[in-house]
Amino acid sequence: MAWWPSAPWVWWTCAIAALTYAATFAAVVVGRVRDARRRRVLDEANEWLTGAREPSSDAATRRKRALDCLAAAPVRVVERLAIETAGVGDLPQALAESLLHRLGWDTWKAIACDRRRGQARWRRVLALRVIALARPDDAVLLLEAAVQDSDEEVRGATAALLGQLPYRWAAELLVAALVSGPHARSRIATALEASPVDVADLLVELLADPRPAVRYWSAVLMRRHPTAVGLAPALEGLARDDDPTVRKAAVDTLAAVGGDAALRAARRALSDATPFVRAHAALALGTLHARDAASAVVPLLADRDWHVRSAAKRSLEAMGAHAAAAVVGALEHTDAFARNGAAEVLHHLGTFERLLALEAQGPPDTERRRALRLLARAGGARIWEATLEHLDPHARGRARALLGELDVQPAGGPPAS
Amino acid sequence: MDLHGIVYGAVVACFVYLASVYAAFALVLAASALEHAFRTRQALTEDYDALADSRHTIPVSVVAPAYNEEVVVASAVESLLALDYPEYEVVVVNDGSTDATMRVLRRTFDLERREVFWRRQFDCRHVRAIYRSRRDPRLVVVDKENGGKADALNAGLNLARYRYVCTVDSDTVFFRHALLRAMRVAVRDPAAVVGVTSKVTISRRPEEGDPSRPGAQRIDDQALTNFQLLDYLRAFVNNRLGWTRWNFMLCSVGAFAIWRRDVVVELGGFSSAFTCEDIEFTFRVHEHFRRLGRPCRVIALPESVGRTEGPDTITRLVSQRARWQRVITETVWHYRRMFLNPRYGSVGLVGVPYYVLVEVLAPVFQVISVVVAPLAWWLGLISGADFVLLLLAMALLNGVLTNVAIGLYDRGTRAYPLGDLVHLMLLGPLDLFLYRPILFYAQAKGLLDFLRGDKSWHKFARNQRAGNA
Repeated sequence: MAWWPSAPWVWWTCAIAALTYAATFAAVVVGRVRDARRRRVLDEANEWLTGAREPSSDAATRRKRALDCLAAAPVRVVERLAIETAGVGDLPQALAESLLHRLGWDTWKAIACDRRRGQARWRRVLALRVIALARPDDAVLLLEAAVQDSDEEVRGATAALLGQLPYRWAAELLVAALVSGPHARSRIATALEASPVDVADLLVELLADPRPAVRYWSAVLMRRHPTAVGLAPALEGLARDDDPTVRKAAVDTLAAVGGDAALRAARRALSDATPFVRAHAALALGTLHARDAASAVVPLLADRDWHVRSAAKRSLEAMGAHAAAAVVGALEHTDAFARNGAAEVLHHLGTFERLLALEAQGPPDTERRRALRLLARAGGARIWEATLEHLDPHARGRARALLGELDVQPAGGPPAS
Repeated sequence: MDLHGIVYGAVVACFVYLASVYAAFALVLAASALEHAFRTRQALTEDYDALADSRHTIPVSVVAPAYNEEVVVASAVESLLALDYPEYEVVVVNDGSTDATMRVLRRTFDLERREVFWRRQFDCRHVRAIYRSRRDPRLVVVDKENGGKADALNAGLNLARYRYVCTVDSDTVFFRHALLRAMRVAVRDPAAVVGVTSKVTISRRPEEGDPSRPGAQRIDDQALTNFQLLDYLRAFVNNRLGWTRWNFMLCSVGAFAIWRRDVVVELGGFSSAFTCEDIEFTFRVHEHFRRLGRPCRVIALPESVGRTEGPDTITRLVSQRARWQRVITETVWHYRRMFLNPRYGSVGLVGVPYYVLVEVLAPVFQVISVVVAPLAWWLGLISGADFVLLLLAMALLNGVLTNVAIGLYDRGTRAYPLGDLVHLMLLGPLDLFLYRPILFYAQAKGLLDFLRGDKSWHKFARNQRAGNA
């Protein structure tokens, strides 16, 4: 056993490890201190802009002070603050103006046109933001190219930026990107819905576009503009479109628009060949709270597609208690799915519970007893037990006895659909 | 060969192993740093307000199995119902708890029994009843017989309605942005991204305080919890991000994992044949998609999505970590056909070998080194000074890994005050002497349990709270 000597490489390994540890330790602390300094600059600029400092001075003076404060910070600090400050408003605008002034238009334009990937793409995104906020009139062509760029990150960031800008041209660029596609139309749609600009007139025109994807997205986005002129007839036409996704979107948006056209289209779509169109038609009728539509939806409880059956149940539940009469009929359906579904809907609507309570309290009623018997048989033990749980303990005992009298011992077992 | 030769050979093997592990760590760390920078910048270009209000954000079913979680389940479910996300449902599955979990749920969320006819797409034990909250109709509670976490997840999946499912733990309290931040990645490329996971932090009492604001998180006053926090940070920031970069993210954490529902259906749900479902399912996804040559990405994100409860005693920690070691070994053994198999791309050539090197072989070499080090000193193969200096170098290198993890995490979140960061960085080198020995023991125990064929969960008992102390 020996303590010394030790090999030089061991000392070197230890020394390198110690130095690396100290360096990484220092890097974390310095990074944090620099971040605190950045925050102070940002807070000071924000205080000037919001009037927290010298509230008596006019807005122009305060803005100048905010820009002076940013001008005193290193340009890298302001760049980082601009990256980290989301949205539009006085502060992002001031940051953008400061950066544009510090590096100059030519530099930012060159960065905004730089199509390299890797880290350069993020600087390009910053440049687009700076130009869009500080010199919006000069940003149109740059943003038009960026929103259709081959780089997904640049495209996505530009779409988000355009959705925040309060200019008609920004929304028009988004609509153009939606039309030209084919990349991430859902992200462009999200930006369009967030946009403060109304582009209903442009979207209505797209309802007649020859491309199904464009018709689909315009129909989806028109939900935000239910009062647009000529919308209902156009959507009613699209509800007969060759493309099932377009039919689905038309039925959905019509449900938000409301009116007779919506009812007609949804009723027609209940017999559509495509399952998801039938499902959305059923949900649309539920949304419309159409009193007389329940009987049209009930047959879908026996649909061959699980999603359609599920949608039919949700639709009937959304229609409320007045759908119950139509649903009761399905308790005698030859299809087990329909019987199960009807029992589930009546259970959720509270119909089973009400019938049980009435029959337990009042004089016997033949029709009511028949309905209860059918319900208990179609629903099985679980729905029966669940309904009894909803009753107060006193009524529960009587209801349990009543079900015994009706001879509706349920089959039991787990429900399956 | 004499004892001298055997010990010499063992010392060399341990050195080679150690050097390989640190080299692997360094490579993965470099990839993690790149991935972290990319995801952080990407997140800064996102308009979260627009996403949170968008109808085009894909709806999600959150499935939360709960077994004997009476202490934290209400806070966990409250946090799930408060998520900032346009459309989602929460399916809590009470997996035959023997404590007051079900009573707490009924009382807190005003549950009423509302049966539904559901599709049995995945096998699961008998479902006793289904409840819906009167307070928040997005909450469904399934009460079923005990069958383990995978079984409970399958039961929840049978009732889940949406195209994406997010499996979570019921002892984790989530931040409001959790789902939105994670789903933004899935929404970008739903065809290729089949799974997303994100970082969770650790706490003895996750239900206390609101740590989601920047600077609002504080470290614990117990060293054991802080060592676990560092462990989590290193695992998520230094490893999983790098694995994502190279597309072999082989462990979606059970506390928070988003999956495309059609993928779960295609693979037949979660498997009860393994001790834990999370890592096995992630392996299965990669194995399946790569075997069929289909695009598949599982992404780990750097953002914290919530706080989970960590064991606060050494016994509980050993129990938990032994189980983790057993699960890793079980899974790697089961999917050994992927090992160095070019058919499985980066998963087969890098991911599985990395797991074998860093996780499966670790307890073996740890045991060897504990035996061999004193022998080598006794035989004069290594001097006492060398031994101490090498230990010191290892401790400092662990400190470097810790500092990098803290630095990257802090750059993205600014979650902890500077004083707490300094405290954590000072703990980094001590990890080797105060925390690793516990893990060495737990990992060796886990490996032995695997060899014995143990499949039990060994859930650690809940930490003491003021109310039950």
